[in-house]
Amino acid sequence: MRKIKYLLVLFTILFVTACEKTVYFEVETVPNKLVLNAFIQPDTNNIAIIALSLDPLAVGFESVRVTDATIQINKNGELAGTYNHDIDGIYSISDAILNASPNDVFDITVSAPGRETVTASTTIPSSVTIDEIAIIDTVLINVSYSAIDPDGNPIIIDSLIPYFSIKFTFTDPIGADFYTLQVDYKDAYSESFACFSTNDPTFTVNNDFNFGNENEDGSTTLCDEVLFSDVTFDGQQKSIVVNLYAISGEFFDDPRFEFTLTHVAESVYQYRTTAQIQANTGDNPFGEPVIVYSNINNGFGIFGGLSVSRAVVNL
Amino acid sequence: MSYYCKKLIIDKPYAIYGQANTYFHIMKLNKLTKALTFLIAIGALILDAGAQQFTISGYISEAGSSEKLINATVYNSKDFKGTISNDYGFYSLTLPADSVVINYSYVGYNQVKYAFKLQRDTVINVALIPSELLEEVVVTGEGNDEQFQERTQMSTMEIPIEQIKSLPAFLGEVDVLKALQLLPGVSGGSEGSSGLFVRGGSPDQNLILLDGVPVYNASHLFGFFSVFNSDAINKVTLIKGGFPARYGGRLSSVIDIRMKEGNMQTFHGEGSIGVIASRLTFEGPIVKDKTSFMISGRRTYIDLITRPILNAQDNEGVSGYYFYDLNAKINHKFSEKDRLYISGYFGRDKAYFNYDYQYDEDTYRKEDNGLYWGNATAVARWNHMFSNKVFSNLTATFTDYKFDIYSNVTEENDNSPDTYLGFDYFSGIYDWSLKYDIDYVPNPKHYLKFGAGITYHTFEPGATQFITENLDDAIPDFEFGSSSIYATELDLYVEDDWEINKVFKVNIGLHASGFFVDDVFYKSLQPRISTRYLVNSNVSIKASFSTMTQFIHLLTNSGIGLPTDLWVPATDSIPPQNAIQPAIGVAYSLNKKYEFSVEGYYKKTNNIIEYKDGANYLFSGLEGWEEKVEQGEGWAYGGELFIQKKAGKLTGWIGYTLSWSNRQFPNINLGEIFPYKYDRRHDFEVAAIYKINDHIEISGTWVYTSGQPISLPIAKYEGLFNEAIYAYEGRNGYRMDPYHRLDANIAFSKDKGEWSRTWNIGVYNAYSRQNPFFIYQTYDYETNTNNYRQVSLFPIIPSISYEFKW
Repeated sequence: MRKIKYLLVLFTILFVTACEKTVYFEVETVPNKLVLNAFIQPDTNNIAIIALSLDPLAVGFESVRVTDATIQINKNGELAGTYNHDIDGIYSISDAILNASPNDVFDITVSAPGRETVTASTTIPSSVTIDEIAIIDTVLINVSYSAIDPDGNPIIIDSLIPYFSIKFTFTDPIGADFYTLQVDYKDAYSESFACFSTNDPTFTVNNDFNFGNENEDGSTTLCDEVLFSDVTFDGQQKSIVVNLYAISGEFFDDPRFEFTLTHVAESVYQYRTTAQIQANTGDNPFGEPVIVYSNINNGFGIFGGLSVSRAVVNL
Repeated sequence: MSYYCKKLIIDKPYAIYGQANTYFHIMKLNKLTKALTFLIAIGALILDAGAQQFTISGYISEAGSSEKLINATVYNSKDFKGTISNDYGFYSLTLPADSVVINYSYVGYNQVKYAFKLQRDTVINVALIPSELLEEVVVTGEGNDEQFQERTQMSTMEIPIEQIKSLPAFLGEVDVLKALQLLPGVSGGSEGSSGLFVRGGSPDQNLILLDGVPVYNASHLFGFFSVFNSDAINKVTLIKGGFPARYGGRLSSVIDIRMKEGNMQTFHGEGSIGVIASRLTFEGPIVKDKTSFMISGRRTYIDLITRPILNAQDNEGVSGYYFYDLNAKINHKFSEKDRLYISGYFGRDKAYFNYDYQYDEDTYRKEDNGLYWGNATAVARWNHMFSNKVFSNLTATFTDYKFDIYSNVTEENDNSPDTYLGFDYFSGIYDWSLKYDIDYVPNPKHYLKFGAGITYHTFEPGATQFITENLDDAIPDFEFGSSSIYATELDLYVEDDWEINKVFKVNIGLHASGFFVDDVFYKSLQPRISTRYLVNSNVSIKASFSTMTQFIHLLTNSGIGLPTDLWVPATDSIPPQNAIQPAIGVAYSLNKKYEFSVEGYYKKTNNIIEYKDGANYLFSGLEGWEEKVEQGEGWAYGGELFIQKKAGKLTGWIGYTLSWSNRQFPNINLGEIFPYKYDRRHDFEVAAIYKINDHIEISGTWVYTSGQPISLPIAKYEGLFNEAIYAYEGRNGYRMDPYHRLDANIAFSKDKGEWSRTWNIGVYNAYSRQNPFFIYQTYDYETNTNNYRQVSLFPIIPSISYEFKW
């Protein structure tokens, strides 16, 4: 009996001490790799930002830019020029040198002292222009918003503002194509992006990366630059109707909406979508980490081609 | 080794012979039964050609308890033609009219032989005596049962329940599923988990059957224990590949668990008092030799132990966690031809937090919060022997899995009516099923099985309910969430275990299934074949090919059996999962004491689902689940080595698995193939049991498994908007440290007449290996650095339990 008591005491002590333990854990990381973020767009001076990757465990995030890099760019297999360092790791090359056009193939090489050289390649997508754009309907809606009166008191202001339905049309080339759409409100004194709602399936099919708000009427409200693909309208003339109102209740001089439709390389689309998902799901403890696309060999970042089309709707 | 041998000349139409616990009945079959047999078997009569033949049939059971013995071997030693008993102990052996010597054997039981002249159809019911009950038997477990190299079936493992009970157990709780983790081709997932990942498959791809009823969530305590009470279990069979056609509905494995039937002769009981739980089982005859029962219960009592401590700290609240299981079975023999089995299982996990306190001067508040989950199964089976060649089984089953979170707040107010606010979130799946199976044994060369079944599924997605009473600002009672989904699954199968010649045997079959859900109908034809080529009496080469279809999916992010996991059906946009699996192997038996097997397999799965990057699942219910998942493909392949010592003072096995398991989804990991989270390159296990003497037995297990693949960032860098982007070497591109662990147990047994007891003293993780459970990032304020920290759950855990039997 005494032995059993002794055993029970021993087991109790061992059982109580058996609990969760944590140990430090070393992970092999790859800091100090070159990071290249650059787009090539016709009819504009193009820039490239060169930085270094950091240890993922580094406290905070302050990018370390590389100021002594050499950037060479080839167009269609021939050396087109080199980038100049402007400031703090930002390099540029003028359109006069590059003279980029749709379907041109660009290869970029970035080297820096003590760093592994990185390379990347992209093709400028074809030009997709906004063929037509027009306001097809306008209704006045009552909007309440809070403000501060001259005495510093919070007040609620009710206002009737116009709500526009705008239709724009473009022609999608045959094959997989990728776009961004941004709508900006502009007037003589200000400009900012405008949120819009739409029932177009383009923005509800595979919409995970845009994080739009689904409305009760089935429409989706989207803000900022929106990514989409031609999966629902490949090779067709596509019309999209968006509904939006100006961010201000009152119009100033020269009010207008500016639509920017950018035909982007697939690499750009993949990078942007995966980066958006990673940014939005990083805090989910049950989610798997999202792998962000990169087309930079031996490094990180993105190198992609764009073709931009703009159209203005005056209000 | 010993056996009984009786030489008989049977020259009368009816004869009964019996001695000790061995007996048999010989009966003349009536014409009506023969005619019925003829009708049922008419399609297969071609198989029955030849000289005049007679059939020996009956049941094989354990002497003393009448517990049916499954897969016991019956063969005629004159021509070595034989068969095995089915899941109900029934056998049928048709032989030419001649002198025969019929051998009955089963592992751990003494062989019985009968010699007589076969002149008519004959019924012999045999009760085999456990070897250990006979003094002259030195070596237990040795028998002339069908050696594993002789079986057509490959990739199948059976662990006797007594062997499982002899192995070291986590916290003293014997666990059937954890014992299966010690077999090659089976991975246990993470530390302490009772989850099973078979040949690179996911947990939802295991068909876990308890008395033929699917169990949807086999986990207690978030996967640390399984729901199966070892005292209530008679037999456990794991099939990893080469699936016989009678099984369907899952891709990766079948875990067929049979409950005890209850002792037909005498009352018995057994139980255990352990560190965290106790068990108690009763069995015995209701009507001797006619009706028996078995009832078994288990409950944890951590909550009962900790409640006084918690109450002392905070006398207003009571919290705790417990789980319990209840197994019950009734077995009734109407006649030699008709038997009825009714069995059920009910288990629950419950965590609760109850809080009573004075809210304000006039109000006393009672809060009742908690969550519970669990399974309930029920099955009624009617065995009917149409003839000595045709055995049927009609089965009706019900299974349900339920998960519920609730919060009820009641306020008792001195000046106004009591108020109530209730919240309830629940999900579950319910199945009703009916199936009919027939075994037809036309001759020793063929063993036909065919049948049909229908299952009606009700999928209850996550739904939330609010109920209020007497609240001033009450909102109307309401419920939101997806409505139930109903589906019907149909199955048809036919298989034949066909001995083509003495060395070549094949099990060929076809499983056909269909699935109605909403307006969609999926159908599937799944051919199966297993072959065995006997190189010599000790060595065989086996090969198999099976196709499987699974009409249901499990929505889970964890893979460890969280109760929040949701079962969902295939839909018009999410088609069923399917798989093919070819396998090849060699089986070698040495002196009937040692078994060696080597198997290689390749498994390709299609339409498996995974949450899209960034999709959240917790409490989101089924609303829009189809848009949250990706469908993709999986590949698993590898080799398995198994060496087993079956007899002697030292028994046990060594298993080794070299395997790969990869998956690919269009929009996950940039569409690239990545290692499945339960991919394990090496998996090595040793299990040994050494019987020092009749009273002391020691056992140990050691497992080594390659590290779990996880995703850890290797760098962070500047994005387009100056944000930090984390870079990974692909999903699951990093391996945690390998897992290894030694468990040991010593058992002291003592017999006191009818009563016996065993003290089990065990230790889990004997050398306190800090095995990785998960890794997280943390910030150290003192050094102003971020670090990865690895969490290890169980350093070393001793246990003690007291078992008793009478």
